[in-house]
Amino acid sequence: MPTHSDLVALAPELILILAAGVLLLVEAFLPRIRHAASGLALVSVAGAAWARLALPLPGAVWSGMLRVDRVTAFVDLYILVALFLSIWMAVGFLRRNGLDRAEFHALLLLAATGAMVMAASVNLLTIFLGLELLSMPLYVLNAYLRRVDVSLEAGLKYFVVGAFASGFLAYGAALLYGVAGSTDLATLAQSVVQEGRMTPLLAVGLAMFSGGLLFKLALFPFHGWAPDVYQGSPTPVTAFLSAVPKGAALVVLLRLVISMDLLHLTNRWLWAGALVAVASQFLGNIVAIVQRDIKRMLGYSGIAHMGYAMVGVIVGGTEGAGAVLVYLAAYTFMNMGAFAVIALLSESEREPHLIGDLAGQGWRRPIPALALTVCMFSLAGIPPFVGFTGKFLVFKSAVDAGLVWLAVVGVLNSLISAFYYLRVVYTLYMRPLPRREPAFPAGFSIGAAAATAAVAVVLAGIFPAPLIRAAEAAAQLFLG
Amino acid sequence: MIPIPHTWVLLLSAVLFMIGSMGVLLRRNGIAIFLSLEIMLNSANLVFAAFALKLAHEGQMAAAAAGQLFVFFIIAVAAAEAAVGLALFIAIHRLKESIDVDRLNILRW
Repeated sequence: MPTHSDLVALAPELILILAAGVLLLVEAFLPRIRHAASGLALVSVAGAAWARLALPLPGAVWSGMLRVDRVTAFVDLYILVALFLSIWMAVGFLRRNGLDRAEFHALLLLAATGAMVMAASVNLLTIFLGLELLSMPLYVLNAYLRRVDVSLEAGLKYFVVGAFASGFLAYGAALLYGVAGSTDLATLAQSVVQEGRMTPLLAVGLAMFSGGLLFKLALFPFHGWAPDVYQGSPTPVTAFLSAVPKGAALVVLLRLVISMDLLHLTNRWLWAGALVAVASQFLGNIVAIVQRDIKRMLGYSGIAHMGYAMVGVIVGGTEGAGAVLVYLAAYTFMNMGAFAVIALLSESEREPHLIGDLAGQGWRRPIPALALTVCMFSLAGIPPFVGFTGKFLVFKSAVDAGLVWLAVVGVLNSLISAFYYLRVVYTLYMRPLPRREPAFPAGFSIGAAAATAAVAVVLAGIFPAPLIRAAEAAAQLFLG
Repeated sequence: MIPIPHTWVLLLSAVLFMIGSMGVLLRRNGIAIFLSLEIMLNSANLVFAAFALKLAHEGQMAAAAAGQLFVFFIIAVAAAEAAVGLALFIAIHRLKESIDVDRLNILRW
């Protein structure tokens, strides 16, 4: 029987689900007040964040299916911030496209709930269910512009690849259940540690299970969908998709890796993980150079960024986990900011978002251009922005674990990536305005979201101590 | 009656998983891809059932129940996936008059 404290521990998720239900009812029965939908969604996100901060963190709840601790709280807040910025962006975006419906926000809230369940999960069953609750609303949201062929194409591709990944994850979970005789991660880890070596069943199960997660992270060799889906989806959805599922999937991966102490269990983990990390970095960065569409370019850049984060996952332990959590927060802010500016500076969702269209905008629209510049510098890992902090911590954890070459490859890749990020800045400021100036529709809320994200990138870059302290305090708990 | 060893069931599920994943990768018709996805999820169900059978033979009834429960959740998820997937295919068919995935190829490189 669920107890009182079980329900209190899930208060943020319950608030979001309740709000999503209300929004769906509004859309169905009171369409006249649907313009208030985004306001209700934003209030519910703020309420969920408040609940997570104010209520106690009891640890294991729901008969040990979920753990609500400081790791969960850190990732929940990260998810809620990304959700807040996405909804904020979506307000202006939907109005421009004449799609101002309440169900859009309801679906975003449900997807975020799924991510939060996943982040709290210590059981294969809840991980699977959280992942599905995260994915299904996103399949719909990708194809939300249902008269635009690229949006439908993105939706179909994400659906097929996502369901394919779910199949892998479910099959892997089934094999892991066979290893441990339980779907509980702690029991699984215990039986692995007792065995003390990699049995074939365990190796295949782990590979398939983490393969399913790598799909969500868009890591090599499961990265193929990312550029297409990033390019085709409505921009606020792309922003959400680039941050939230990755955070949830990385936490699950960290919980698995650290509980089994894989780095010390078998060499194969190091080599498989390093192959994924290094190949993702090189592939993402090199292919991003030749892209003309900025959303597609950020798709490839996202593959590379998760490659950097993967370095922290390979290292594992408290230090690696702390670095990954900081990296996640950094990546969210800079990516959200960049996508918000892209949403603001685009004429129509039917046309590609070419980098060349930004020519000369640095002088014409100084504030959005400045926000984009900050985000690009941060993505390239240039101090004093928060992207540098994240990269520094991840590479430092690799050096401390004696994997200097992984850090060297990462730094080398950051150099490659600077080329295409700075080209965007170059286009903004050094290229002349085109003769036929693009007319960008107004979008105050999109600009506000962009500005907020950019300010966060700068502030967290100059004063990183609170973020790092919170991440390290959370990372302590991965061990016990 | 001779009980079927659980390894046989595992073997069958591995074959089904291969058929499903090959179907997703090779078939071009949207509905055929969709059916292949369902085969993949159901092969995972078979693995859960097989291991639950093994655990039940060993007398670990609670552990067996955990696996059998997982099967029901996967079935529910597959149904939800069907709803979303078919809606997507209908939207695509309205726009393109076809659900051949090769006709959806604007996004590349």
